[in-house]
Amino acid sequence: MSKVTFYGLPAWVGAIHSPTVCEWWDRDPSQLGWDRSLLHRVDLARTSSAALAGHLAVADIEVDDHSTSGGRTTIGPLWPSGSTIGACWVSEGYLARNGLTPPGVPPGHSGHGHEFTVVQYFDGEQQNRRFHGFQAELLQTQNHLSLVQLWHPGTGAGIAKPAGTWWLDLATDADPSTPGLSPNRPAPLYLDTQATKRLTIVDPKIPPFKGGFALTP
Amino acid sequence: MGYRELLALPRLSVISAEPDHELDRIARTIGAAAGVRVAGPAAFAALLDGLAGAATPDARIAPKTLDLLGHSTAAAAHLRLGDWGIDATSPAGRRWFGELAARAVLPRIGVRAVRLLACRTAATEAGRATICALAEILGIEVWGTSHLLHAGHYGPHGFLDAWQFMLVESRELRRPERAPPPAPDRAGPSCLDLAALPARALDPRPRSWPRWIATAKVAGQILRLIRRDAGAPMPGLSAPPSCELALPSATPHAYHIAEVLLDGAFLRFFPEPEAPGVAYPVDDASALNRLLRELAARGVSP
Repeated sequence: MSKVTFYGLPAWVGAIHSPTVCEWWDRDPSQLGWDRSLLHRVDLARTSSAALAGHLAVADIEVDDHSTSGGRTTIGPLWPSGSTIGACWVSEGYLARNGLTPPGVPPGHSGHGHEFTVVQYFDGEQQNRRFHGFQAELLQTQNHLSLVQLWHPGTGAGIAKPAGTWWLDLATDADPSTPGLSPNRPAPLYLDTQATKRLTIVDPKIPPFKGGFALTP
Repeated sequence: MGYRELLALPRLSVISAEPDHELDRIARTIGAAAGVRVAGPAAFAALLDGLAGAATPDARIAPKTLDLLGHSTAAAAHLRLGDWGIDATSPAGRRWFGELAARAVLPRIGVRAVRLLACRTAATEAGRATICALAEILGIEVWGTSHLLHAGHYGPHGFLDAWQFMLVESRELRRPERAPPPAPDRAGPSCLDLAALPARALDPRPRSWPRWIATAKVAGQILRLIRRDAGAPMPGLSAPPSCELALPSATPHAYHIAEVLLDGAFLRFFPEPEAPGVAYPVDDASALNRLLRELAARGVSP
């Protein structure tokens, strides 16, 4: 079973080489002295949808699709008209190839690392399903449904109020490969795209000053 | 609208007075009831002083958001009120807002937050610096946005809550170690208060499930079966209700509607018309189903 985990990072584009290839900083360049040695090169065409269409191998995926194509990346998608500041959701393979480690929580947020991750499956039982990381708390159960409180991604570690409470069928909505929730213990929960669409959730503000977007992947 | 009426509102929208089609549209959308147009710092100060003067002990003063609406300057993205670009990092800006803070005008009129509602007020370094400086001077949260704003983001009461997510607050712009923690406010499950639910006449249109009218006694028995502090939306449910219950209200011929879901495991009520409803778990589904069978046997179905 092949799957890819994407990590959401803030992105400032520092150089554009083609409609989809750029170099970017993962921190505010004005705080880095505009150091070009810290730029990372990425091809925004090397996405999971390109892999699903057979244009590249799953191992070669660099970045999640743009938000207009069902992904979470908000830089680009095509230059010169694309956005140059926003979020770049990069694959674990991309991080490894660039000598980077999973970033955890971007600066300026009060969330957990898993709130900035998306898991995409490519084959097996979960083929083509995507699961989005949330901070969640199981309050109670009734039959096969669970009363779950969710935080907007990026806010689950502080004392911000939860985004809301919903009755969810975790057997169908949650990633079965991750541990189940225990009552009254906030923990990571990965919900699939269809379930996420039905909730009123806001994408994390990456970088914070960009403001948020409704999370309707 | 007078100062005392403005004090009682939960939101005060101050709109830049300048010959501009888009701002005119926003002002028309908001209406004179909640929006005031000002042309610069003198008019803005006169408005705030008028409100503070009206904030007497007998006045009703609602906690409110002060929304400043206008266009932003081209390079720095500072919000403009008339010909006044609000730059709280400049000596003049610091002095103007410092005097406002020293006289405690905003707390006296109930202002808890200020929002700079012009295009991209948080999209530049200068804009973000002004947001943080204003928050520091005034001692309250200040909001801006990196998005483009237009008349579609406004309704009769000002900036629509649905677009709040486009805004960013000064707390999020400061360095984390300086940011104060947000106020604790945990949104939990809904509690069922039947009397607070809307009651309506029964809809005569045909449905694909039966409807039973409960007496006050049976309604009380049904409500005792519900876990009333565990209500929440059930967004993934595709199955239709097995039946509909009409519970009597205080108004003759008006009922509180509830749907029976998942073989009596849940009852779904509708606190807001057109909204998806809130589902409450039923502790004893077999007891509920027994009551439903009794209602069905009596055949009280319009």
